[in-house]
Amino acid sequence: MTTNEYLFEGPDVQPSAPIKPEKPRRSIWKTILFAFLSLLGLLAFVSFALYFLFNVVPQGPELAMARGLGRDSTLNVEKQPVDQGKILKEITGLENKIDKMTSQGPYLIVNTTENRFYLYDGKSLIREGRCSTGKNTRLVDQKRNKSYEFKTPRGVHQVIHKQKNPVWTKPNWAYIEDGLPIPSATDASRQDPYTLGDYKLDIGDGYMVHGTIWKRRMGLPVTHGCVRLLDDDLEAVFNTLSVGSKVIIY
Amino acid sequence: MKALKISALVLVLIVVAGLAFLMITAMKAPKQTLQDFNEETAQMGKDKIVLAYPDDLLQKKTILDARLAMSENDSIGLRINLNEKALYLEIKGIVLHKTPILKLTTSSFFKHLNPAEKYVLFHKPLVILRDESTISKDKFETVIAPKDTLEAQARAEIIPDTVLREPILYRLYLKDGIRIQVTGQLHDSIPQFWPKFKFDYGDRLNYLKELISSITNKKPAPYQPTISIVIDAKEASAIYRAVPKKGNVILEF
Repeated sequence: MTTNEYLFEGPDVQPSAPIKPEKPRRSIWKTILFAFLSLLGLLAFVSFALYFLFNVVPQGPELAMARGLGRDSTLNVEKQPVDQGKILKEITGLENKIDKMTSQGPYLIVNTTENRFYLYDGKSLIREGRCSTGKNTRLVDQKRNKSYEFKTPRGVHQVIHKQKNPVWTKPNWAYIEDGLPIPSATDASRQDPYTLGDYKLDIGDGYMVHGTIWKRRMGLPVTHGCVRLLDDDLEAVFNTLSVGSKVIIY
Repeated sequence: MKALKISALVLVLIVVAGLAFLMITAMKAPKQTLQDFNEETAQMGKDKIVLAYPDDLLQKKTILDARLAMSENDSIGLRINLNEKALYLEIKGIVLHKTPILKLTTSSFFKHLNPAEKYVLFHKPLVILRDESTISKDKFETVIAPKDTLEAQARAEIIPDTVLREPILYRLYLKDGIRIQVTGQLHDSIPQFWPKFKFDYGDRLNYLKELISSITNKKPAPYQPTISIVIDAKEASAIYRAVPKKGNVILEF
């Protein structure tokens, strides 16, 4: 055995299988980019889905879908020769009906949220300004176990009575609210010739349109349900509206 | 590690597929509603006199018929003119109040109705079936009677605070599945994001529940054609309180 032969013997020098070529490794940056883009795409999809599903008035996809419908109505429309004149006459008739509904005479509109009034004569606005309406409170009298609601009634009312220099007969709640003892029903202290101002217009159920001595509170919700106006406005309203005129409160 | 990766991938795929399925189902809903509506109106197509109207006159007739029908009622009604972008409060044909719409968004359902279909749907006022709101219809504060004149006087000096600070949001659910969402535009300094988020997304979660339940029950997906309106907050409050609980609404296109 030659030295060379000896050297080729042993486990390290066993002939092995052919070596597979190593796969080129993906760069770390490429992997990060791939992961980032995948995540971005996923987030975009999820966001879009949530936006669509959670939108109160969905727009994009809903519109696209509806557009795809086409608008060939299934209505069985038969385009008959129509008498245009007859139709126009009918339309004019309907318009006249609506017009007639708008009160021909004067009427008062009261906005209780903004505490403003609008005095109209037919379609024309003749005066507008501040007013005061109900304070929306419930006064609880624990002593007598009673409660009173101070709210201006919404809806259509009519002037049922008009009076110059009105005298207010103070109800029980006026004393309770002022922390005073309640006098008898016929007590003279109940007659108050100042608080209602120069005029009053009764609109039913004890509610009125009247003046006030609390002018600095005008435009605020501070009344017990009546509509308070400033002196000039009240005079204009009193002179314009007659018994039977509408007072619309909203 | 490999198993974890596969599980994560499967989970993501399930979520994506689930969302995609929900979206497709939801997207089909308007189509289904329109088809149902078309079938319904086809039955009514025998009314040749109405349908023989030229489109412009039919549109006029739709609104006039609706206003006349609403005027028969004794309570205040709401008219929404989407062309003019204005809201009207009316009673007995009298316009009480007009307010401009600052922002308007409508479901595609309305954009794809022809004049005859609009007549069928809107020639009568739509009744409010229910509503949801961040404000109350009748705000009432309970006050205990004062003990004496001193307490009464101290109370009388308090000036009521009428500045709006709370967000005004409400939804009116009308007949025929139509909804009106009104948002009151407040000053930017007043935080509105969370209240609006809570109000809108509470409703949307309900919608999602209904959508999933419709899938499991093999029923048509829910779809409510919606008109979303932004108006001044004070006006929004006035309108909400003026229109009665079961009031009437007219839609004008």
